[in-house]
Amino acid sequence: MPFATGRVFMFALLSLFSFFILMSLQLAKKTRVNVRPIPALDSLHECVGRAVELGRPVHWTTGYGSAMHGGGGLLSPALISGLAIFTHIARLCAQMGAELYATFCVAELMPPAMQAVREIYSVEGKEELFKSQNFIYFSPSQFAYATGVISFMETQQVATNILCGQLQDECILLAETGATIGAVQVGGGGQYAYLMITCQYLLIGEEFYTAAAYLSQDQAQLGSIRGQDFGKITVIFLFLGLSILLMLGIDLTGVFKI
Amino acid sequence: MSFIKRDLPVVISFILGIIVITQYFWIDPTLTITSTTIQGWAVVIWAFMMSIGVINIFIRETRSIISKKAGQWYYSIIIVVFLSCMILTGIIGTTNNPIYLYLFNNFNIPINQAVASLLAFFTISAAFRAFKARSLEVLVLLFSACVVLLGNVPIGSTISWTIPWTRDWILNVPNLAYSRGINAGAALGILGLGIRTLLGYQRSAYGMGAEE
Repeated sequence: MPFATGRVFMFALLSLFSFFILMSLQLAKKTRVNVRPIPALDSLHECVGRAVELGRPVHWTTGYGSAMHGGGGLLSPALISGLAIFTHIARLCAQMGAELYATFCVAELMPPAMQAVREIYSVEGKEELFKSQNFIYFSPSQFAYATGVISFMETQQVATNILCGQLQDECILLAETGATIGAVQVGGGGQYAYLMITCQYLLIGEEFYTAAAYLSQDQAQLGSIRGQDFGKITVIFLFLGLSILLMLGIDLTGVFKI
Repeated sequence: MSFIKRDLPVVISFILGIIVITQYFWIDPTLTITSTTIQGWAVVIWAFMMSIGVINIFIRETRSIISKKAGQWYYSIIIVVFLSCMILTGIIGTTNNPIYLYLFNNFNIPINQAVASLLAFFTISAAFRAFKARSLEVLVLLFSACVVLLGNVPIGSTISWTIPWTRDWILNVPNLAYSRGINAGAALGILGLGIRTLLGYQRSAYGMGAEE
């Protein structure tokens, strides 16, 4: 089978990074892995607790992006990661007795989200608190969805607003509404400029994609984060090495096109 | 939990995922056809899932009408009527149906544009709150925002040629470096997430929440 043109170097890098991650996954079963604290994820307990104290609901939404809106997969990585954060929030809500709402623009995300939350409430012995009507689908259209969520947030006066998914331009409409009604907000998954000025806690770049591993505190999954760091070090050296060589007049950028 | 419910989705995802990834790197007609078929299935599943969304809307809004939910039920009637009209006209005469086109062009598009135009006002409102110079970091943010804003309007270059130059420098050097760094980290994060999901370490995507 011949290689596709221009993808050999990409394949080599992908294989190397995958090797780092798989190796770290295995090694983590033997040695303890410590990951630096991520304030946005550590704050989730406090955010849900605040909602319970105020007697107002917790709200999670994913944003507009999905496969059919240019997300790159039926459930894009950002949505999968957002879903992992959501399941953690659902567990906290079940344990602390907070009202949980989820609003969707991506219909295909509803069944796994509902199933995961139903399972969590069942495990926590709080089946009676699970309400399928709290999972609300508004529209596949970006601004119709945003309008629905804005109206919902203002009506319900949500105390905690979690914006974790594939966020696009509608993000500022949702986050600013959250800020106006005094909700504590956690954001992640794109549109960092908007999230930075509206949210109290922000998950930047890889922090967002490693959220599930971090929240699970499973050693094997935490090990994969260490594998990613090896990859990051490789990328930094690659950037530096190729830049220095370029300054010396040696152009090796053609290697990317192999 | 049974094998079918717990492990089968992971096995299927792993096999299909490997086929699609392999097809990206190797040229092979069988692999290409298989991968295209799998992606075709994804589109069909997506279309099917849309019906779940539509049913969800119908149930919620009908409940609101029946219970005469205060401040809501009359909006629910509008939603149900328009949703039914769009579905029926779309099914009967496809998207070329004149009634469907009329509703789409005269209701859907203008309302969407109206909401989109609110973006600027929401951004200004958020920026006004965020740019109160309370610390050195916010001061830098405020300065950068002012320079970029001024650099984007004609008066900026009238005041001084350095304003558009500084804007270009901010966008092309620190901003670009930051974006590339974040993107490289995020790409590795996505790779890690993909491996964890395909190997079944992370199962939230399969609708399993009680794994932590």
